[in-house]
Amino acid sequence: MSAPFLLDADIVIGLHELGLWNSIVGHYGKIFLSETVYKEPLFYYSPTNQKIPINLAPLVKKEQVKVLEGKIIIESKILEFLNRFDITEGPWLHSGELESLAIIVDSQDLRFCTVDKGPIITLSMMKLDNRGISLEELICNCGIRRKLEYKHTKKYFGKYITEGKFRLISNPQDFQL
Amino acid sequence: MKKGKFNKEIGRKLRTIREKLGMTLEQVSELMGFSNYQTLLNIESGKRPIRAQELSSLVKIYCVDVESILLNKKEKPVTVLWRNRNEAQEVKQREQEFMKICGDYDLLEKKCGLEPNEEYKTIRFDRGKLNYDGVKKTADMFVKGYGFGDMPSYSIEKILEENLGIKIIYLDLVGIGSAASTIGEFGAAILVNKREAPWRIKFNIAHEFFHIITWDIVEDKEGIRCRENEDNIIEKLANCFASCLLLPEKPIIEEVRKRVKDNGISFYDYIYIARKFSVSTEAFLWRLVDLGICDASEIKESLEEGIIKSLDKEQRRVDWQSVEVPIISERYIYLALKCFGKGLISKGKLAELLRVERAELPKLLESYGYNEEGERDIVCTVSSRR
Repeated sequence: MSAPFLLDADIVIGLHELGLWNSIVGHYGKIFLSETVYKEPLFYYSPTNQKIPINLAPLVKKEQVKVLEGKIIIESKILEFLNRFDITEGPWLHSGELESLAIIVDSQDLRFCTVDKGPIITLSMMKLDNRGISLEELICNCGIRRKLEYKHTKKYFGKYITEGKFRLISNPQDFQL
Repeated sequence: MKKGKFNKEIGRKLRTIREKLGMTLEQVSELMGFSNYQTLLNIESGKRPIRAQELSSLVKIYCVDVESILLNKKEKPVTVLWRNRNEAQEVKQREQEFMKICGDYDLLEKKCGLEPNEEYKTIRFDRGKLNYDGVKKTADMFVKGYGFGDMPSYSIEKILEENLGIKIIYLDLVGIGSAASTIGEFGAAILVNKREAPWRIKFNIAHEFFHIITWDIVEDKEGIRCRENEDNIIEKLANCFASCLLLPEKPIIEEVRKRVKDNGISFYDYIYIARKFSVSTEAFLWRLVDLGICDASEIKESLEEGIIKSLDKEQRRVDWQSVEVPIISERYIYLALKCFGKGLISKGKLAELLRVERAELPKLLESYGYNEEGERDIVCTVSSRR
C-alpha cells in the first residue's frame, strides 16, 4: 500500500458525491483528517440536489478515520514563510488549511490530497510537492476509473505544483522549521 | 522562540483581543463549546497550548486574521465615526467585523496588484464651505462632475467604490447603530445597516460620504461621535449634502412639473417620484421645501397627519421585500474570485471572505457564474511576459 493520506474537506465531499467514499476508506484501511476539517460541518449534494450531512464520527470510532492535530508553532512558521513572498505571490490560507499543511510538515510520510490550488501551490513553494496527491491518483491507486472534473485530475494538480515552483524561482525562499 | 514562551505570547494576544471586544471569558467559552471558562483561562495564561482547531474557531469569533495572532502584525488604531450608535456591547464586536472586512478588502486589492484607489483624497472640501450654501453647491458639483446622473441613488455605490475608492460594507446593525465611516490604512470605508430600507441605506451612504470628504477639516471628532445629538451642525450639513446629492434640482423639478395639476400634486404622485429616485418620501418632500417648491408648514402638517406616511409604507412593501442586501459589494466579490482563480487565496479563505460554509462554496460560486473548468488552458504559442 502507498503512503497514508491526509484528506482535505473538498476531497471528503467529492468522494461522497462520486459515491466512492466507502471504497476508498475500505481500500486504504485508514485515512487521516485534520481536526479542523473533522469538526467542520460537512455535507454534500446528491445527484437529485439533496443536501446530505456527512457524519464521520462512526468511522473515527472504528479507527478507519484518524483525526490529527496540527502544531500551532509549525503553522506560524508556514505563515512566516508565506509572508516573505511578494503580496501578489504568497497564497493566503485559511487556518484549517494551515493546520493540514502543519500536519504534513510534521509527519514523515503523510501525503496531502486536495483540490485546492492555494495549498497545492504552498506545498510546492515549501519544496514538498512529492507530499501532495490529486484525487485522480488517489482513486486510480485503488484501481477505480472514473470520468472526473478537471479540478480532480492529476493534470490540474500538476499545473499548480508548477505554478508554485515558478513563484519560488521568481522569489527564492527556503522553508525551515 | 521556545514553546512555553510561544504559548504565553499567543495567550496574551488572545486575551488582549477578547478584552478589547468587551467579551467575558464565560461568553467566549460558551461560543467555543467549552464546558467552563477554565480552559480559555489556561490558554490565555499560556498554561495550555491552544489547538489549531480552537484557534480557527477563536479567530472567527473575534473577527481577526490568524496572522494577527501567530505573527507580530501590529494594527494601527482606527477611529470609527458612528451615526445613532447605541451603547450595546455588540458595538465593539461589529466595529471589529467592519475593520476585518476593510482589511480583507484592502488585501484583496493588493493581491490583485491594484494600485490603491484614493481618489476620494483628491476631493477638497474647503473649510469655508462648511455651511448650507457651500454644502449644496458642493453636492451639485459632485452630481455633475462625477457622473452620478439624474438619479444618483442608482449609481452612488458604484461611483463611490469604483471611482472614488471608498469601500462600502453592509452589516446587520440592528440595535447597534445606523451607519458609520472611517479612514484607516485600508483607505476610506462606509458601514451601513443592511436591515434598513434600501432607500434609507442609500441616504446613509450619501450622509457618510460627506463625513469622508470632510474628514480632515472637521477637527472635533469627539463632537461628531455624539451624533445622536440632533443639534449637531455637522450632522445637519451631512443630511443636507445627502439630500442634494441624491435629489438633484433639475431632474426633480422636471418630474414635479410633469405631474402638477391645478397647482397641486397628489400624495400618490409624491410617493411615486420619491420611489423613482429611491429616496424616502419624507426626504423628498423636505428637498422640495429646500428648493422652494413646497411650503414647509404644509409639508410638516401633512407628515404629522400620518396619511402620506402610511400610504408610503404600503406602497413600498414591494421595494423592501424584494431586496436582499449582501454584506459585501460586487467589487469585493470580483476581487476575491480573481485572487482565487490565480491561486492567491485558498478555498477555505474564499469561503471565509464570502462568508459561507466551505461546503456551500461550490453552490455560491455557481450562482456567481464561476466554474473552475474556465481555468483550463488552451495551448498558445505566444510566450508569457513574466
